[in-house]
Amino acid sequence: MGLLDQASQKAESAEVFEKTGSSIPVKFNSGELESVKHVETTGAALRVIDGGKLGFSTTTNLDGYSEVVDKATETAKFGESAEFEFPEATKANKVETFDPDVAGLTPKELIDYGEKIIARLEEFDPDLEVNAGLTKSVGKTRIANSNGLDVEEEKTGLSLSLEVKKVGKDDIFTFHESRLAQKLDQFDLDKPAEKAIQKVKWAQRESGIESGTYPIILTPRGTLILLVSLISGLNGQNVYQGTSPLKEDLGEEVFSENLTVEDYGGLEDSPSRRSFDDEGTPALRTELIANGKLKCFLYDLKTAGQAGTQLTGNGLKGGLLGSSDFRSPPSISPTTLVISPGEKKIGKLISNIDEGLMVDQVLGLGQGNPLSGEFSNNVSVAYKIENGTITGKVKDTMVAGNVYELLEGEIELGKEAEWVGGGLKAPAISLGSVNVVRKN
Amino acid sequence: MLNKLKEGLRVSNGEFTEIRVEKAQRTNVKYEKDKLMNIDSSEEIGGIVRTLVRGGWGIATFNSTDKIPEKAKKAYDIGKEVSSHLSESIKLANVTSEKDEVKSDQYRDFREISLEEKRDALKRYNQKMLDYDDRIESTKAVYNDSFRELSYVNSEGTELYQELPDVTLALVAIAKGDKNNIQTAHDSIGEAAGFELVQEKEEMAEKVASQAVSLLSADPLEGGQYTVLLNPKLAGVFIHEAFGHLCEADHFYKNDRLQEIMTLGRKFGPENLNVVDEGYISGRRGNLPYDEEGVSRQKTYLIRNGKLNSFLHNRETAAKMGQEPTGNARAISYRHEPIVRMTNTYIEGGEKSFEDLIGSIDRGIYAKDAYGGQTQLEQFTFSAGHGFLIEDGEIGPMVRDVVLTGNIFKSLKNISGIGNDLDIIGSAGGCGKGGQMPLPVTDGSPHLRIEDVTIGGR
Repeated sequence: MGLLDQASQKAESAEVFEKTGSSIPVKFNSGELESVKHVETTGAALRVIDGGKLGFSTTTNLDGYSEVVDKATETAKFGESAEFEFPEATKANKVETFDPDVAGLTPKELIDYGEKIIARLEEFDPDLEVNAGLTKSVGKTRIANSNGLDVEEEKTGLSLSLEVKKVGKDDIFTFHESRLAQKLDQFDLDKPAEKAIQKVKWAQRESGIESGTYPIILTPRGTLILLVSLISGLNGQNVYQGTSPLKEDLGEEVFSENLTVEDYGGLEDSPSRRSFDDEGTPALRTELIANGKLKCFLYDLKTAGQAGTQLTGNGLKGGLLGSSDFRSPPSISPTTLVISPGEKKIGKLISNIDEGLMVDQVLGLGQGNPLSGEFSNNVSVAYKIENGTITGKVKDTMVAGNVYELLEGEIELGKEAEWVGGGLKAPAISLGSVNVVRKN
Repeated sequence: MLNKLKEGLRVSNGEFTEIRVEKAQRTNVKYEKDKLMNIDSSEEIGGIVRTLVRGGWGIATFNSTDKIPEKAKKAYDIGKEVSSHLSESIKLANVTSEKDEVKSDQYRDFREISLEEKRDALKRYNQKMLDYDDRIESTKAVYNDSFRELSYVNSEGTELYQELPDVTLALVAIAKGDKNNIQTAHDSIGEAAGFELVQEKEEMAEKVASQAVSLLSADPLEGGQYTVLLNPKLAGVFIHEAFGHLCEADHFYKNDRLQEIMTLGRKFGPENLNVVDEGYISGRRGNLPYDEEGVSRQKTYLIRNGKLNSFLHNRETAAKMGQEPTGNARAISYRHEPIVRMTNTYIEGGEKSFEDLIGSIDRGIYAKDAYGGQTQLEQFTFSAGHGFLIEDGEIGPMVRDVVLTGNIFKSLKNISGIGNDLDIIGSAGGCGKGGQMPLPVTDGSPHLRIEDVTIGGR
């Protein structure tokens, strides 16, 4: 008897989330192959509603289920009243998430990819230290509940992550670069290599900046500074609990009219494309901010039930940049977040600035006070802009501001949108004035 | 269990093979505002085989221990492929083989405590925060316990069984003033202990709630350079980020240029600065009696009398650099191979009383408690829970949004006072590196005074 049947006999209703799959991570340290690993994953999470209350337990043992059923029903005795029911079968718009070409990649092919990109970077500059990781993964997710829902999706994934160091005399320049894809033809090594080389070129000189207020450009990756706060403000749970500054603003024009953001789990070229969320709700295309107007918040089953709102298909195990883990209960997270690009090429945005910064990566993302939108970060990869051109890297420099105030003011968006990690597609964003503190 | 593991050793043809199996039992209880968001009691078992084949690592993980022989062969096949791409064989430093069993001692074993008692304790703390003041808009209270049983064998005859208990409590209060004035305060504790650690924490709950409310009227700090006095909790995070990570040899064991920067004997701080990583201090979260390569724990001086004294190693980095392993090979779970990590890291106590440290500061910041930190090796950041202005040697009004930054080549040299009140403090959360997070570690320090620290702000 399957886990769902066993659980349904003991509890009023039940939901099983099953994950089986494998991945092959290949690691390079300082340009040399370090290890290849074969990771096998089998696991199941069980949610039950019993006596009107919610219980949860997980297991890696898919043979003998009885223990996890006992544990989940035991936790339900002490659990919170469930203010939702597991959803009935609905028709999700099934999207293609599996690529046999990725599934068939051998360790040798992954090693070849790694060697190729490392060779390219070392050819450009033999002093670069490259740590690289390439991972291929194949995994099947099944979500079934006692109300008749039973959905399954098989996904492939291929990822490259680079950590590049350039060490000078008492100077260590480090940056990260990554590329994720579900399909082989969406994966390329050229783009991350070109971007890495561009970063090193820009960082060849060190520039300074006096403390003060300047316009800054956030690269697509740099927009994470804004998104840490924005995602928390759009989270339906925070809205329900009263800690989102956007709580009262639904339907209001609270951002610059240049800002349009949507959550779009089924987006074709998304590395984390999916047909449904981790509770079996179809992944929707949800307009969150349209030309500055706040349109919608993100919800999962639990919060939609509590707040009495519509589901948006955002009950996920793991966050925007994290990977899905069957061990965590579902919570609210974007599936694929898309910021609509603007009109100007990034070069044009740069050339419009007399003096300012372009920020790509910061340390301590999410430190400060993300709920209220306050950020204060040490830049780890950032460049000085002088008279419309980039003149060198800056370090020992902090940027600070308030995300909500900045996005309400004048912003411009770049024309070229890029993937950041697996779940964010964003263009560069140019911000009017940000406070910069630089160590003398 | 050890016999099952040894079966895997028998079928492996690698020149070195190790097998680790972990059984973990976990409980998680989480309140948010007035709702119990999660209650979870789970068990899991899994393991990893790592084998060295002609100097290349092949690794395979599994969930079913019946698959150990199959996975040992798989790891061997992978290792063979790896070795064909290597220009230099990986070597491991020699260590003595160990046979030992390390049982945990908890005063109140959390595995024996009912879910009801765990939930009720957490509910009380959560309610205490909610009831504190009308301006408390929301709260979070999170309890976690985990009991890991690690079995380890390797082809050199090491056979180990270790029990690692870990219990944490984190409390967060969110206060709301006007629209964008939303302030968060938090505190957490974590030890390798039993349930007794998290009992009777009403006072901690009240303090967190009171801090969140106080922050509503605190002024944001103006960005600039300040003399700062760090309390032990924040100073512990400072040393972890500022210097601990840079001492992890896997950052530079193959990098000649970084090794030139990290020369043993190089002066990084004042004469009275001593920094230690210690693998076992009774009851601490960072404890690991034997590391995940079976190497016995050590007390390692990273900085002695202001000078770089030693690195943190696993067997591979030690062999490559011709040094001794230090017992710092750690993995967050059976899904990961061990990498070089810290354990319990602290600055040794100095001479100065708190009054001495603060008395001579004309204008500065007393920065307290830790929100987090991150390093990029040269530059690092760490943020305080809250702070106070210091004026003419006296503690003044509260300030918020205290995010500090430093540079490895300057910040330690700017240490101008080390307190005599060393405190090693376990908190919830953990350290992240190489995709492995959170790893339980403990940081510690006495009060620490540093000159010219850059603090961001508006």
